[in-house]
Amino acid sequence: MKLKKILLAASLAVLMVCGVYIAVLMGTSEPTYDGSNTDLLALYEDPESYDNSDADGVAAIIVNENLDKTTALNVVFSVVFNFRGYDTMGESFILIAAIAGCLVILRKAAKKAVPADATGADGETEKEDERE
Amino acid sequence: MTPESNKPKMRRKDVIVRCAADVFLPLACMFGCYVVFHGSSSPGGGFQGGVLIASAILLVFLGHGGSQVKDSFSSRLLHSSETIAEIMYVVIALLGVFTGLNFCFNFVFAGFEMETSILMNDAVGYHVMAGITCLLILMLGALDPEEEGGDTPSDGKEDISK
Repeated sequence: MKLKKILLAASLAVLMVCGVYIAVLMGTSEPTYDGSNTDLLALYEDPESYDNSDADGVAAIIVNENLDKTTALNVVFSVVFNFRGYDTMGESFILIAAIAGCLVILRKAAKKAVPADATGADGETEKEDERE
Repeated sequence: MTPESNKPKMRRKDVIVRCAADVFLPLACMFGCYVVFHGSSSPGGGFQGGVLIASAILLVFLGHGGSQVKDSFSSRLLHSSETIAEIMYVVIALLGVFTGLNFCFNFVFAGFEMETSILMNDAVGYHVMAGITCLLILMLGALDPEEEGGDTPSDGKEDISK
């Protein structure tokens, strides 16, 4: 048990050191996007005739070269599944984790509710097991 | 044993409610499938279409009661199929690594309006459909005994006496 706790603490410490190192790297590196060439007022007033060829960063690539890089007509789709496919994978892992947690909690509630009414197959099998 | 124990539970709902649920159930499933499969060219996508398909189970619950939902769907199978969909997503994303390119690389298959992101979209739609259906079954199962003990028998007796 002590060895397990020591291993757990060591692995968590390694993860924390890596996270701090990456945070320092991210903080000291140069920003890839500053909205210097984007005129927000003109974009708000007349979005259809706005010239976005001067914009920098990833947003300009996503908007201007969407049809060259992908076959998707929907830009939101190509952002979610092409440019941020890794992020979508994490989202679906989060969904799995959330539903597993709900399974753990709500299965207990359902099992408690069923023997109180004394109906259903699960309650009967549990009673039989207790008698045996 | 099963019919006797189910008799007090199996209180059939009105004909109008049952028929409306039966009519709208395939329409809801078809609309959800449409949103999933046309995610690349129209608003929507895997997440939204999956939730639309999963909400069709509420029609089964409203039309036929909680016992029918328990009989016709198994939450264990749905939970495992959710995991299968996640494995499908990861395998499709790993296609790029197997050919010496990046993770999540986007292949555009020549000659077709088809790419790996569309397959990933379908996998996510399947995943969300199974997951939200599993969640709704669990929630309806936790809610079910209170409702059947309280509301429905009193309503039926009142209608008959009047």
